Amino acid sequence: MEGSELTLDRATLASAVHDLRNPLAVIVGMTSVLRARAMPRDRDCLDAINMECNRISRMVDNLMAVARAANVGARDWIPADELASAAVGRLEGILTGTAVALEVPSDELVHVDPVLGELLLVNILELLAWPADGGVTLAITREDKRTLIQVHGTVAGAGAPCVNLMIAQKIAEAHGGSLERLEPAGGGTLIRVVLPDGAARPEPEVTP
Amino acid sequence: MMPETVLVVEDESRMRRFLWEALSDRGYRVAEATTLAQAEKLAEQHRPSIILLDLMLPDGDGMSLLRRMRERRRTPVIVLSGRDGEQDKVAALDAGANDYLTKPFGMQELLARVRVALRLASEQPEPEDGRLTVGAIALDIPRHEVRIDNELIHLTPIEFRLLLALARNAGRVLTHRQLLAEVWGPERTNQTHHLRVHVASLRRKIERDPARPRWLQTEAGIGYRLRDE
Repeated sequence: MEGSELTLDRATLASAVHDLRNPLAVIVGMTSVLRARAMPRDRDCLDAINMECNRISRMVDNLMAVARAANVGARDWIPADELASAAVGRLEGILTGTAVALEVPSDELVHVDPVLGELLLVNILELLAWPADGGVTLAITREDKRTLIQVHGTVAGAGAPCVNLMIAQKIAEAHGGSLERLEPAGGGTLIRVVLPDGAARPEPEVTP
Repeated sequence: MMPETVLVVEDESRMRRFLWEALSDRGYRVAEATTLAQAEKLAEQHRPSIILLDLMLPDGDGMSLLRRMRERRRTPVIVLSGRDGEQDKVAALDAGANDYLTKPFGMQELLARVRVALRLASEQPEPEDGRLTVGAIALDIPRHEVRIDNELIHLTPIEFRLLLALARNAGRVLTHRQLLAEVWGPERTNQTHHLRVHVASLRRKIERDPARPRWLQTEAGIGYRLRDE
């Protein structure tokens, strides 16, 4: 990996992440206690603090993902719809104002590290869902021993290079795949990820 | 009625303060320990209803306390984890932790997990009439029938056993290993892809919108949770 920020080993990053998580935990926790006791007019302010803390928390998750992407854990065959729904669920309360459409087959499996696979989608969705009030379509298809993930955001100019894109790219590359950002003729922004299978797909289980 | 006692094992003073404020506001008595040694002493002294356990403590790893606790009694333990590795969470759950909370978390999430752990610890293992209801999901165990919003749905035997295991632990995460051992048997605990396929199929049958599941939640790299609230 290139870039001095990526040369930290995983143990050092884990320690830094731990040091960041504790103060964040206190802020999020105390804010929630105050919210329960607050007058209605003050709750919006406390909700804003909470949302921003959660954003920082996702950045901290991403720091760990960078370290982890260099060393992909056990890949497993995951139903495409489970992967997509878990990523959308992780962004519950964050994708407000953005309509997310899923075009995901119910009978296809994707060969990914489960945690990194979810983080890959979370980062792309978060990237294309900003600014809000647009729409995002997540499509997963399979073709010849590889998975194609295409996420299209309707807002023009969304998906500018940022940490989300870098994380997603690192995760794709760690799976031996690739990520590209395109501007399709129909408008908006398209992120296209190709993930080659790392193993043969298992035979369906024979149920007695 | 005596308030329930929560033993908080956490070395960060401000984190302890948050937990104290959140739990006291809801009427729980709170005992606090900052080390493993102190936690063992207070666990004997107060016989808490539940323990909130940070894993990284000055005199050792919280996992060792968890294992010793499990040798003696079944007090529910919720692990407070600042760690990111799923392996740590899975190890804690497989070692007998009832649930985990990853920092940061808010008061509502904390109280919901405490309620679930206390409810599961106090419940009879099996309802007398063989019926189990979690939200909109109603299981008739003797008949192997499941209704969602009163509508009968067809599940395969494996899907039924999966749903039953999750429903018996509603609100609590079950690891892949725990679910595989429960449904397929202890010799097949490494076949996670089969588990995932059956869970995905179950989700399509019990969820109104499987892409945005209301009940059956995935905990990436760890397992599944059937929401009960």
